[in-house]
Amino acid sequence: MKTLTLTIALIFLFPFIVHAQEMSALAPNEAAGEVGFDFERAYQDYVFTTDVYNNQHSAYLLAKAQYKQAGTLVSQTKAQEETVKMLEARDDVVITYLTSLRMKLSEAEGVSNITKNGLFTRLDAEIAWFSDHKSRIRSAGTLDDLAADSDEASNRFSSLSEVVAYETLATYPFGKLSLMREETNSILSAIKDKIFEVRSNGDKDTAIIERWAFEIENKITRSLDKEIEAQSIIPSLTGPGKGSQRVDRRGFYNSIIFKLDESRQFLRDATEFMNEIIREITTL
Amino acid sequence: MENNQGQAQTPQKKFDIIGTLNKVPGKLMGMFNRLKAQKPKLAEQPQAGEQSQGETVVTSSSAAMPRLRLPKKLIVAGVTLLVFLVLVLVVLKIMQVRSSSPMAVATPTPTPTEIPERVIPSQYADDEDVLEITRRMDNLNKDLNEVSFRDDRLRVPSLDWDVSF
Repeated sequence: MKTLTLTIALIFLFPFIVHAQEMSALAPNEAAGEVGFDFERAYQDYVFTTDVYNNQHSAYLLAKAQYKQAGTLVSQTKAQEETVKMLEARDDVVITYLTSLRMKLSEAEGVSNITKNGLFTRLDAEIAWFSDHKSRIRSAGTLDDLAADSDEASNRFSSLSEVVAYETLATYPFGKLSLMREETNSILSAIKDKIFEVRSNGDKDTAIIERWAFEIENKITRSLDKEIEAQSIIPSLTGPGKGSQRVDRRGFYNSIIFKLDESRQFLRDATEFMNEIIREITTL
Repeated sequence: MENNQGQAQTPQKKFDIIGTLNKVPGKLMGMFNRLKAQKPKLAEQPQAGEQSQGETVVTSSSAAMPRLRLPKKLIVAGVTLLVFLVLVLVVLKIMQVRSSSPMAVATPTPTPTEIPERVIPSQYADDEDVLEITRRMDNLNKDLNEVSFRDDRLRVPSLDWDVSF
């Protein structure tokens, strides 16, 4: 009887045991519900909140126009409600945007941990500020209070959040580029070893090939120079984002990308030269 | 009014043209008659000389032949017409030749065949290190061509920061 009871109990418990084993096999963060939160997921959140903001912004503009036209208490209340929703949606857009940047940077290769951590701290501070700001919006009693809240967020975004955003956008391409330059240097080193071997064996006159290798070094150096030029622009991103002394951050960001593209072009030239050396070595 | 006058003038012009055309046979007949009249005059000339001088004049056959004196305008018109006809014939002939000539048929442009460069591989062509370098270079080239430093998806959002009532 006891055996029968135990068997029946085991049959009923079997699916739960299997499920528990499957759960324990997962990573701790995955089991906690953070399954696959990567840049793509963060970006989807950003796109979604942007859609919500656009809808709320349209409703806010309509309510504002009706309030300006009618000036009734009903229209005022409606305008206040729509403004609150719009401001909350706007904060959500900033939060999800900065989160997307954070994820992009965390997935970026070639960026040093010091640089990453510095930007993470600043991004997290901005995310926390806008989260706090969002929670305070509903406490505003009047439309003027809401306007003041909006100005506060505007000042914060233009003076700090936008700077961190552009710095992050400009930083992760440096990682890609430095990885590619490292690889170019490494390949060149391997080619030099092979040239040395050819010369030692006396199989071929390597004078010309060695001169070509020197040309490749020059190309890599020029690529590095361009990267340094791009890096020197980054400090220009900081500065007032509003007023007469407004900094054109978009323009500076474009200049950085342009310099990085020039740097990449020098690496392309270097690989072309390396191809020629390989062709020379592999043919008589 | 002007229109009416214009309408009235048009039939008048028509009448004039018809009148002119009607005169053409008459004028042609007049010219013919004048030519006819000149012929006996010329034939009569030697007889008149014989009678007046009382001598026998032996006239040559050429002198006896009447000389047709066509109007200058008629000669010019005739020559012009002849030249015009010749030109028309030449043009027609050219057109005929052109139409009968074979049409230019579009043929594919011959593509130059590249003469393959004769590559004589060295002993390093199959070298392990060289093959590894080539593989790494292919990967690097791919990365260099595919990488994009600008991510347009992450442009700084443009939001409405100006909230005022």
